[in-house]
Amino acid sequence: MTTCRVSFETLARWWLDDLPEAESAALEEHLFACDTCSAASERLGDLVSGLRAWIPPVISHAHRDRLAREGKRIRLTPVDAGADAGARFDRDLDLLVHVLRGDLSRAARVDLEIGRPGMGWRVVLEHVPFDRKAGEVLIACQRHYRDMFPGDPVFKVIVVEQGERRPLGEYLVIHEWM
Amino acid sequence: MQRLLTQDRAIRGVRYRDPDGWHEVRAALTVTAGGRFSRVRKLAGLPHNPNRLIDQIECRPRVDRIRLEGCLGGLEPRERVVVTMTFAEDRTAEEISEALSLTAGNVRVIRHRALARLRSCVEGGEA
Repeated sequence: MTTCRVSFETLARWWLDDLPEAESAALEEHLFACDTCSAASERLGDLVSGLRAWIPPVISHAHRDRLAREGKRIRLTPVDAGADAGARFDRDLDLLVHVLRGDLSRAARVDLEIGRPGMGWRVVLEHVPFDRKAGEVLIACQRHYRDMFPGDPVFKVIVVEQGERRPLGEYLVIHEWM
Repeated sequence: MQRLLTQDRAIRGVRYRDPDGWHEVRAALTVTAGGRFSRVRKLAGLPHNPNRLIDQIECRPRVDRIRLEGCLGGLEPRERVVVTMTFAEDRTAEEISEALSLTAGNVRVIRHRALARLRSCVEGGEA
C-alpha cells in the first residue's frame, strides 16, 4: 500500500471544517480517487466521530442544553461548597449533572481537581467551562465513571481572578448507583 | 463529481464527468463531521451542523468509549483543553486561541498533535 500523500494535519483540518473552500473541495475530490488517503481519512473520521459523541466530565450550559434536546435523560443536583449532596443514578437516567455553585462573577478562568483521598486517583482539569453569571460549574457524571473513578469524588474548584488562583470551595457528592 | 447515485432512498455513490465522459463510482460515502464546503453534503441536501449531521447520517462512533476516555486522560493538559473546546464545545481554532491567549496557528498544532496521539492510542499504541 502506498503512503497517504495528504498530511495528517490537512486531514484533521478537513474533518474540522478548518480548510479554505478551494482546498477542501480539492481534497474531497482527491479522496474519491485515492484509496490510501480515503482509508487514512476514514480512520481519522472514526476518531472524530468518537470525540464528537464524547461527553467530557465538565460541560458548558450550552452542551447540557444540547444533550437535553437530543433526548438525554438528565438529573440536576445543586451542590454548595462545604455541604454534602446526594445524587442517585437511576437506571432510566443517562447522565447526572452536579451543579457546583459559587461566586464566579470575577473569574477569568476556572480549574477543577477531582479526587478521592485514599482511592489513588486524582484528575486535574484546566480551563473548564463555567457560567459566570449563574455562578455554576456543571459536572457531567456518567455511568461508566463508577468503575473508572471509585468512591465518592471531591470536586475542588479553583478560580483564576486577575492572575491569582483562589480556591472557591470543595464539593462532595455522595453517589447511589442503581 | 456532479451528482449522487441514490437507490432505495440511500446514497450509493457518485456520478462524475471527465474528458472521457460520464462515469459512476458506487461506494459508501463519508461526509466530514462538519462538511461546510463538502460537495457531497450539498448535493445530498444536508445542512451544515456538525452535531446534527452525525445523527442524520446515522454515524455511530466506532471507537471504544472507555478506551477513548483513557486516551484522553493521557493527553497533556493543554492538549486536553483544546480537544474539549474543539469537540465538546464546537469552538473554532480562532475562538480557542482567544480563550487560551494563543495564536490560532498554535491551537491547530496542539490540536493535530493531540489527534495524532489519540489515534495512535485508540488503535492500540500509547497515548
